[in-house]
Amino acid sequence: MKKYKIGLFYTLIRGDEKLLIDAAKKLNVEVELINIDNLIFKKDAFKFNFDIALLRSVSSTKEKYVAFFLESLGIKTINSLKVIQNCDDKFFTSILLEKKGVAQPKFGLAFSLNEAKKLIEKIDGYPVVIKPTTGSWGRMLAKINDEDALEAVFEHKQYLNSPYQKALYIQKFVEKGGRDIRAFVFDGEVICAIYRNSNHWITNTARGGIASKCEVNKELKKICYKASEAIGHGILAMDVFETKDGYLINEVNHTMEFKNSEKPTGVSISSAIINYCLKKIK
Amino acid sequence: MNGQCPLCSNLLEVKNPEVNELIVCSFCNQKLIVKEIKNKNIVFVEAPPIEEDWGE
Repeated sequence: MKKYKIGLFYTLIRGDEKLLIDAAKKLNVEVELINIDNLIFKKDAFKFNFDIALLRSVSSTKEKYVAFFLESLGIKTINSLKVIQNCDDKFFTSILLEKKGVAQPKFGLAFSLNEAKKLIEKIDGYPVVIKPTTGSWGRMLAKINDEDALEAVFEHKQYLNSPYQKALYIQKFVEKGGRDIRAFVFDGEVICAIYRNSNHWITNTARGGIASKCEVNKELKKICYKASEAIGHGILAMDVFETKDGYLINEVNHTMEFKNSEKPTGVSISSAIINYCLKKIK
Repeated sequence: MNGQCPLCSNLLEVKNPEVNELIVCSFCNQKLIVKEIKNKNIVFVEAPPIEEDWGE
């Protein structure tokens, strides 16, 4: 039987990548660790000896370039460039979810203070959340309770260097009762989910949110499938809000972190990722 | 394998270390990465600062 090899492209080896390496060993799958920072991405200078590329860069910019380059050589990547691009920008994701009719918090984008004020009126007023369109781990999110706070945050953003910070992606704030759901979705199927519990309105486990097991029900499966379809499937981590009117998809992530989720769910997400790669080779 | 935190000199043990592995010093909480493995000793350096596009 042929032994397959996965090229694991990384920038940093986090706890998640260690779990992937261990899972591959247990499944008797060879993994080649490839440091993106040590490569030249030029067709005639790039030699490869793996069957599929698993992209695990902590930098989404690097991940996009690597995916584009590898796909141009006919190499299959997990996730695909399309999925990475669809998830990488929160506004893109929201638009794609909207097109598919996936329930999500009310949202919009504006570039000026006046238009931001008008947008907030259109999404039923304050409180709202301003998020950078790219980035993760709950960084630089601002809950805006009134116009004074909006003006202050807007002024601060004008002094930030990144052009992305000038795009005001605004979401209606959703009261989530101290928790939200992180669902792990493989080609539309929810393999497991956790609650992220926190007294703070930002519940990311990277910010101290505590993970506990969430039983997956029919409604959760349904909305995650629809969202996965909107993004283009692949391996996705979805952040879901519970409201009295049902679930809302808040965000979709393309390079999931899962090290805090294996223990509470009892599911080896790392093994599921390795098996997913094998399935895509064949 | 062991190595010393370059900031506080705490001795840190890492199971099956990999180059560029991210760890947190258990004493001073500094984020470190494995720079190299020399004669079964780990050489740590401070981890790079988080950039705007880092995440999931």
